[in-house]
Amino acid sequence: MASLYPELALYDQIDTPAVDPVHLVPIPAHVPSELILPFPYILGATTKLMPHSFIPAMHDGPEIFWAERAYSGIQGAWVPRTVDLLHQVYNDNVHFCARGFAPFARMIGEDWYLVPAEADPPIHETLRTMVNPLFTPKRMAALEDKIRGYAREYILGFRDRGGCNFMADFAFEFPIKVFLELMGLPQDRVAQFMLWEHKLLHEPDLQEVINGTQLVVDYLREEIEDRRRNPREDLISYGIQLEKAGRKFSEDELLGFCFNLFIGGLDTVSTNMAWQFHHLARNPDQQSTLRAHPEMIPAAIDEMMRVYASVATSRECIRETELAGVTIKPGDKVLLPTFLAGHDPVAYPNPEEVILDRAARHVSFGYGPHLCIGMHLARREMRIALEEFLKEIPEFSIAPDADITYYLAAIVQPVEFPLVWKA
Amino acid sequence: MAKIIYRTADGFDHVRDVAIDTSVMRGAVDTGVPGINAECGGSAACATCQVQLDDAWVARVPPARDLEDSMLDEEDQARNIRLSCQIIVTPELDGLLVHIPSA
Repeated sequence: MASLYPELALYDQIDTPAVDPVHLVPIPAHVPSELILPFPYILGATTKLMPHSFIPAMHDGPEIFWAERAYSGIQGAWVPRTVDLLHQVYNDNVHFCARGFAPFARMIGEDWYLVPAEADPPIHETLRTMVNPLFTPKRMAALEDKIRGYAREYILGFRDRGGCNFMADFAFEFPIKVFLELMGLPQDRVAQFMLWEHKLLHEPDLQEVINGTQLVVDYLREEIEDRRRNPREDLISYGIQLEKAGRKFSEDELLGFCFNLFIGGLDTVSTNMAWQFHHLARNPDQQSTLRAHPEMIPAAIDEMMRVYASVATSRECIRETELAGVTIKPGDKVLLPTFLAGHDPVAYPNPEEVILDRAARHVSFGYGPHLCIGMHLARREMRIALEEFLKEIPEFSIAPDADITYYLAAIVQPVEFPLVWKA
Repeated sequence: MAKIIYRTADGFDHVRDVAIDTSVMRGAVDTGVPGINAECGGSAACATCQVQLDDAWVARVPPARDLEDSMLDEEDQARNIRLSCQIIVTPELDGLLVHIPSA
């Protein structure tokens, strides 16, 4: 194993939360021991190293391997590492189901699920058909000015200070503003939402995650109840009225839909923004290229989304099958780590290198029927953030004394980093 | 095989022989026709494989299903914009002309 993973020594620099062995799901008997390999991206793990620096070595290993604790920190999962294998699993709803990849409802003893992210055939297509019209490119284009206004509010707020804490001062709140706008929720809830989001996604203490989930669910249920009595022009009201093929959202589906939007559209956008600014702060040449040529920003964002991919969803096997010659059995979890696929050397020559106009396809928004429904909105938010920042703020870098910690999972993200510039 | 003509905004015709039972999107993506990204790979989930049917072909291409329609707004539908991943190539579509909108 040491020869396979020359970077193994780096694993000493990962802080992985301990788990009581009684909580660990045993490794299934059909998993060959030679395919059980180290994997840093365990729920709650942090490091001071660049989190993507573990990836190149994995691409010298097998196309698919078994990683202990890769699912929810307590259960092992198969980890395919290539674009082709991820495409295959994303598109295969015969052998794999999406149900069960997010643990939130189960944690609070309920059984709703994320709509449409955790829905499977045949209901998935109906649900997606119901939700799609809310996120079409044109509908998102209509939000352009609002989004730009929010971005400018933040940027002008710290411009003259000569620096900011990028996550706290911008990246976390900005997508929440857009989310509240879409959902028709009051903008004074930003701080509240940030707190809840943090509990849900970044708390190492499971009890805190449970508390956070309950708070969000209680709040969403109240708002849904309110919109039943007082319908407005917003997504919750739309969800209540929505009807397709003679059916409406059930109470559980409505909650799953609202919760899906909450969980899907906040931290993911914050994280990708973080990586883009983190990269440009450390690569002043590329930063000045984009400042001089804002028309290159959209392609640059996609390239940075590939190199700094941060999300892993998962599937569960429901019928025995093979992936790259390895037997996968019902009940096995399969992780879909977009951050490994983004560095697949077969799909991308010199995968570690950010080439602003590479224009390569990536799987950072997923692939297949569950492709991120908020893709067009997310791209718009990220583009506007970068456009406005580069317009208003001179050359920025990471503060020289910065001591940055990175989350390795559930999402690969800098916890915080300070940017500085000449005010 | 059926001949599919992809006309780009600059007026250039990209003429391709596309296998029966595959999609109009697949015929473009696999042969490098520009302007069709198809990020979801053919699941009607991304709306990045849009084409406009040529007027002469509107009546001969089977209509969109609900899922496809949900990705297009009324104005798109009125202009016969379709998701090319949802148009299955059949012998009847030999000679189909689609216009690729400029981004």
